[in-house]
Amino acid sequence: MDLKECYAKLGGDYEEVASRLRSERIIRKFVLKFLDDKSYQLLVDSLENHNNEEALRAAHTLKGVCQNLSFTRLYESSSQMNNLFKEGRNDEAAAIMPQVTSDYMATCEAIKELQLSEEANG
Amino acid sequence: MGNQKQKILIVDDSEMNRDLLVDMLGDEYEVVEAENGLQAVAILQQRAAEFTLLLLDIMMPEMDGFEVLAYMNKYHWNENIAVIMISADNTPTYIKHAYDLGAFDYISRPFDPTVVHQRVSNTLMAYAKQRQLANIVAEKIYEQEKSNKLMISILSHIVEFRNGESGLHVLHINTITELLLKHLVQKTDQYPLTKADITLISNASSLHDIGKISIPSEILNKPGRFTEEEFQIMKGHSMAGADMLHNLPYTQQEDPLVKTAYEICRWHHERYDGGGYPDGLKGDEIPISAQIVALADVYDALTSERCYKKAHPHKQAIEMILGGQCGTFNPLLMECLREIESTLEREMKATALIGYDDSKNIQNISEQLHDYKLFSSERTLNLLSYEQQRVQFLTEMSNDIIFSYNDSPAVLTLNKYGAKRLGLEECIVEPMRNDAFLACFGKNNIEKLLNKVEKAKQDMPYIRLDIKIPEDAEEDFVWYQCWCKAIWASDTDEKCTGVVGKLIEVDERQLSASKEGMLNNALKKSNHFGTEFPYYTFTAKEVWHAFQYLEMVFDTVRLVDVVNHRQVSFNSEGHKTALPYQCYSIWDKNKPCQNCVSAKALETKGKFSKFEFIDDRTYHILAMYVEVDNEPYSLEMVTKTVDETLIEGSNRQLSFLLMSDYSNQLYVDALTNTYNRRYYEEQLKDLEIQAIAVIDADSFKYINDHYGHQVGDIALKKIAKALTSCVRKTDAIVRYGGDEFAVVFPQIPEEAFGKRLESMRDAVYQLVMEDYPEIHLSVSIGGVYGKGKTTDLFPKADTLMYQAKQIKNKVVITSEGNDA
Repeated sequence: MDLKECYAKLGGDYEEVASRLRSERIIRKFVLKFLDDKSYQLLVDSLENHNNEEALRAAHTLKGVCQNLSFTRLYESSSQMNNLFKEGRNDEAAAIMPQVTSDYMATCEAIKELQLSEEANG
Repeated sequence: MGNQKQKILIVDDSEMNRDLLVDMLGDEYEVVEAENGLQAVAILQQRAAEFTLLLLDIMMPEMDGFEVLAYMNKYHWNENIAVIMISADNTPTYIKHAYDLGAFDYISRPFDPTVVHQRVSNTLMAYAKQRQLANIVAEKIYEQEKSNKLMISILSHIVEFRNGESGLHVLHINTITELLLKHLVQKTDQYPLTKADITLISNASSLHDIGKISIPSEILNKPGRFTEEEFQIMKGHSMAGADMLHNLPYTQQEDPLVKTAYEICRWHHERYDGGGYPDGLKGDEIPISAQIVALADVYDALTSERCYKKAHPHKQAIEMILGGQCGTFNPLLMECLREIESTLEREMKATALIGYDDSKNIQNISEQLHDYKLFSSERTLNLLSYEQQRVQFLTEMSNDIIFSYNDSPAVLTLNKYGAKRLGLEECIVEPMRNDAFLACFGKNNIEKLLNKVEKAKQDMPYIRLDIKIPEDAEEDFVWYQCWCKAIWASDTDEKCTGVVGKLIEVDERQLSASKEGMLNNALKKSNHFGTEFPYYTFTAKEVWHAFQYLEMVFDTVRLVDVVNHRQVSFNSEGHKTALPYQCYSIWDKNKPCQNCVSAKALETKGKFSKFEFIDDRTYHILAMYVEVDNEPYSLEMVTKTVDETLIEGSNRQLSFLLMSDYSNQLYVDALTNTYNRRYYEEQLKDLEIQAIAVIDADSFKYINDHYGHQVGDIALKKIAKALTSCVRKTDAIVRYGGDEFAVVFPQIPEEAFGKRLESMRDAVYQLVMEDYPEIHLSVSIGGVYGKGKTTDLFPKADTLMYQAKQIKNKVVITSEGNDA
């Protein structure tokens, strides 16, 4: 699997990110780094603790990261959640969590696949 | 300068986003990262001057981007650091708010490297222009700063303004005076005042009431009306202030600032119709400086609350003045007052809140230059008030009697505890004519002390004397050890100009207690002075309030959980947060400090201090044991020492250090201004360092024997100065003994080490003794390069130095590899 295929699988916009960040090496580096990003975990934790303020921040950060990497699908769900939190519609925001989770998992899965195929290719 | 990378601080809570920016900018700039606003502010507090640009996210935990901007305004960091906001939230209200708070530009997500680069370099260019402008005026400012320093030196003798409101009063007078003057010169050219004159008069206005120090505090702070006699005494303050300035040494009297201050002190209660005091001058017989300050003084007196009256509202005050209820003023100035009325009201509110409103308009050059000047005079006032508060805090905290004495004007000040303990006033004018003071200390003791002070020399300024002082009204006596240091205004003066010191009670019971157990117990309870140290206990809620005050005084204040190496903070609700980094990370370290003063403070429930060196800066850290809700912490108070204060040995700073911790701080060799042996033994000996050099003056004994020690001293001073000029501030030069120096390099590349030692040798070799051209100075240097403990490397360097001595004017170096 190459980077382009990975983007297709996670519902991202490869054209956009490639035209913006230009270097494939850099895109790859940050895509792989996404697996270490803590904002999703923070979002899970803060929702569990009913800490809406922190949840807003986490959703915001996740959204920002996705925006930078052009992970369009996850960007959309996290952005929607972010907006609802911002308007104080906390329950509606929390209700989107399953969607965010499934998008996040799918994204991670695609990236891991990319990682594996790279390791296989040495 | 040119090839040095500019430093950028990136503040964003997402590591990914930071990394992306680092990736884009890392090649061209040096990048430092902070993961929230709090960290960013902490970094800026330490080293704002290093950064030229801040990339700032808005939404972050702990402290958001807007709050960071507010801090930047408060501390004037944004005058030299440009801010570019980053956020995905490019909603207009956010952006506007950021611009209002002084952000320069805006980058939105997703990041585009081209855009990021362009914005950053554009912003830096714009700021570079502004800095150039700043440099143009720097020279003028420097001249001005010199006079400001003089003002501080006069004012700081009056450690505490005795009537509590005066601190703000001085700031107010300063502001009003400046406003009136600026308006006056716009309005008419009747008084030929330059901008420099305006600054001068505004600065000098701060001194208008110094004569009040001679007024007994019962009168000064009397709540009710004055009797006729009291009023007569009170009136004496204007002449008393003028006299104080008149009694300054002749060289200082020539200073324009002192001349102007003299006019203001003496005549700021004169009235235009001749109805004022002390001289009853009329019309423009009264210098314009004094006329303006008189008006400013009346306005501020009316609008401020005093112990004897409530504050009048602004409008009412103006009406009272214009209606002639406060005496007659120059009609032209009355017009000015009326015309600036609304500005005045606004400015006074601003002074009360922040003090200085920073407007950053790069296009408007003249305004920029002007603001810069304003800022400078205000900074002086801040500096002064910091210094005062700092000293005040430290002296008040102390359970020793602390005093400072100044020769002209003759004023003795005691700390609160000391005044109470001795039953004396905190501030005694002309102490040698003060009966209470003479009775308390005893003529005999004072003469002994004065005798010692007279004999004190600049290179041996420390005095110790045991004295006996009567206890209360009883006939009992208490023994004190009196420690002091004589102070000189300049290093060419023969006679010292003042003394600072402390009296430490010597407990006879403690002396006679010979049992070891008791002694140990006493040691555990007390700090190294043998006096019990009352540690502070706070509730969680009180901590926040205490910090509000301490942060005004110190560059950094923090609470350290010593066991876990964490910095903790309490908010106004008393809620505790452990900050997400180790306590030693603010010192750029990745493991606990070797000489941890907080650990020592915790262990002994006392206070300790030390110095830390980062890059070119020196920090003085005072760690103090405190308890918050019964939990033990160390309260660290950090002061950035301005280079000249420590290395070049300003007396004022030394006196501050002396007050803060006598035995810990006497680290500077008085003759050479390098560190002394004590510093080596206490601070350097166990350090892990990169390199060391031992330096010995050649044929020094010959110079001493043939030309006398005085010439020898001059030679040593010159050598030390030459050596100092060759090393960085991070390297420590120690006068190890006699004519032998050691230079400790915590970090240095190997080839730079060799070059530096050669340049030291050469710098000394180039020296000329003006009066003895036949004397040729030179040094022999032994250097060891290689990681290790100072004490382990020293003997090797010493041996090499002796090898070099065989030839003289020679450097011998060995490299140890990195096996340590």
